Amino acid sequence: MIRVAIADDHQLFAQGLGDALNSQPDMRVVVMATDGRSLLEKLSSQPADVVLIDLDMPGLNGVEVLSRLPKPDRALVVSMHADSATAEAVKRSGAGGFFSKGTSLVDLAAGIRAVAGGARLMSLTAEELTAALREHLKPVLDEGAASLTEREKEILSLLANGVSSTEDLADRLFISQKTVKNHLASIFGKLAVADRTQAAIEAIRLGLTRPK
Amino acid sequence: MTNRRRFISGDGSLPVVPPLVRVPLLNRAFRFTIWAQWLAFLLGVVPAVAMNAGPSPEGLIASALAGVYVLVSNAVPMGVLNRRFVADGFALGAALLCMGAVILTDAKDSPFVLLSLIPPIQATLLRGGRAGFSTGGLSGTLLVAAQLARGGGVVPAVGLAVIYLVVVATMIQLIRILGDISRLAAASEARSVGVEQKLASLEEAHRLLSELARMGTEGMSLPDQGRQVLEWVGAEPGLKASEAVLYAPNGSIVVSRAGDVASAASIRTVPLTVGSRRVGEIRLGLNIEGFSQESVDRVDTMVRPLALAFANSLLLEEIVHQAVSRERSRVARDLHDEIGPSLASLGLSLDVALMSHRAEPALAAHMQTLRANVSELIEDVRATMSDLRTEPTGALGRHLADAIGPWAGPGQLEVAFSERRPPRPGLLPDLVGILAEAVRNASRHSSATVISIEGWADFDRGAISVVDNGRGFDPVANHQGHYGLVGMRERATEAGLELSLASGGVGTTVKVTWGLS
Repeated sequence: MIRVAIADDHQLFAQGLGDALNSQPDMRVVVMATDGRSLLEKLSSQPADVVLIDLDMPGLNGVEVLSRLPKPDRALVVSMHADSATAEAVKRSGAGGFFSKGTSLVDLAAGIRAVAGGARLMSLTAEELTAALREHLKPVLDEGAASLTEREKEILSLLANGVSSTEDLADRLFISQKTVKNHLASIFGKLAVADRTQAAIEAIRLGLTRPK
Repeated sequence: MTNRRRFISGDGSLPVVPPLVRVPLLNRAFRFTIWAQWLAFLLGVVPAVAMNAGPSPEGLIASALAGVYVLVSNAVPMGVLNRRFVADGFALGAALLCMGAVILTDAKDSPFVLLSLIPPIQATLLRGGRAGFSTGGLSGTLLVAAQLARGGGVVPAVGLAVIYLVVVATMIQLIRILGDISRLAAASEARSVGVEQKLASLEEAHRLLSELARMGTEGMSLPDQGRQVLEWVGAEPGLKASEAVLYAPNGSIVVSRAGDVASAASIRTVPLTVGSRRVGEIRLGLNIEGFSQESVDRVDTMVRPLALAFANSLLLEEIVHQAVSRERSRVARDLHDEIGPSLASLGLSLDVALMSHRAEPALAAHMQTLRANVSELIEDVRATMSDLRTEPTGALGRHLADAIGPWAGPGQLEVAFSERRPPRPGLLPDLVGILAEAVRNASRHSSATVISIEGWADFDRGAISVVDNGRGFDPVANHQGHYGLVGMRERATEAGLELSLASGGVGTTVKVTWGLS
């Protein structure tokens, strides 16, 4: 799970970006700030893996914030500016990457994954950047979620669609109730949840299944 | 606050109010006491003379004392009374005269009691609170003493004595209020003077601007004015041709021309200056013989109106330029702060919606198109923002000349491109950088004898080439000494320009195009 922080003084955009990133199974927005100072304050109590920063913000601007971040290479600048002078300033500040606000969610999420994994996108040419992003299009799921068996995914899919009693699950899958219980215990362990409802919610969030 | 406290402590003068404002108001108050004096005097004299069914000696003497006081008050001019010692003496004398009259006529029941209240008031007006209290105190004490001497009731006399002090205290408050009023009036007057001055300067500016605008529209255009001056100058003996040149921000412009200056035997330049600013020049093409110093002096005088017209035009252009650039930044700010991010947010929402409707291909395709359009719109907004933040810079040729610097070869540089409109401001720096680099490369590495810049530019479209006739090279191979090529390529890609390179046995052509594909 990649923890993301967002700093942008345009509330509508910040909200949209937050919702979009939260829809990614492997990302969670943990910090939302409307200016540089409050971003730094919030980060001191809630660490994030990747920080998305706007350049023009009241108080501290994006470049100033970057210089105060412990790991500026784990930050992506997301800006409306397109001029080469701005790009140069961002490059000097040591940011991990520079994206237009018009970048699609898919590319932005790929960029976040790349930077979270230690890649530096700043000095790449357009072609190299496209190639680097292509490698990170797929969500990186937690080990637990990735290790779910086909049968376990089947059970999660049923749970997500309202089949929740042990008896019904056993009937649908033609297995014993005891086996269902064993599978459920394994699923709970892998997804780190406590009950069937939480398991269903987590499965939907991770994109493992969708309610019909 | 300090002023007020100083006054209440009563230091014997009236420093509370600035002197300029103090004098008129306090003087007016003092003049009023003189009128009051007459009234109080008449109200005292009649009963004093008529007392005890006929004039008594005491009544007559008292009336005389009061009369002396009133007459002296009227006789001494204000300017003299405002002097410190005169004022002190006057207050003391006035109090003694009045109290004499009061004591002679029944003390507390005297008809001159009203008149005796006036000296403390005048003392307060002339010399401040302390003098007022001293005079009032003296009057009160004399009254009480007289009452005691007569064996009359002391209590009513003391009561009356206190009234003197109360009157002085009231007077002090009154003066304070007068001071406040004066200060307010002064402040308000100062403000209104400020407003009037501002108004006057704005009106003057408006008049000048209107005049300038009128000159710009009513046929007195720069070429017209130039032509007129050249006509005057043309009458000078020995003159063959002339032209008027304006030093515009983008370079020199020939505004008007009479004849061909270049073909004249000699050329003489007359500067057009306003103050210390050189705004243009008149070039005179002369026959070799005979252009006298007198002619030069006459020409100097004749071109003066044109110098002013040029300066005005440049000034107007600067004003307009400032207004335009302010407006450009405002629009860029709006695009950056509002429209851009809102569109971006819309795009992200579409992405999320697209993800959850992947199972429905028709809808997904529809939304994908929508998303692509939004992305394009955002990039347009970014490009426009970038354009707006770059100053409209003018001719590509001039920028290119600046970038290349004074030409010293090797090879001859020919500039022969047409520029209907300058390239988009956002493109200009990169375009100039690439072309200048190409010229430098050709000059350094190709041993060309002629390097020419040719092609055309029209704002958002154009094709400009740098062509040399030197030894070519293989553009595909990695050439030492051609590091500049890599930078040019990168720069072109970043700026959205297309760069093509053609080179063979003889000559190289570096071509930059934009807006053509």
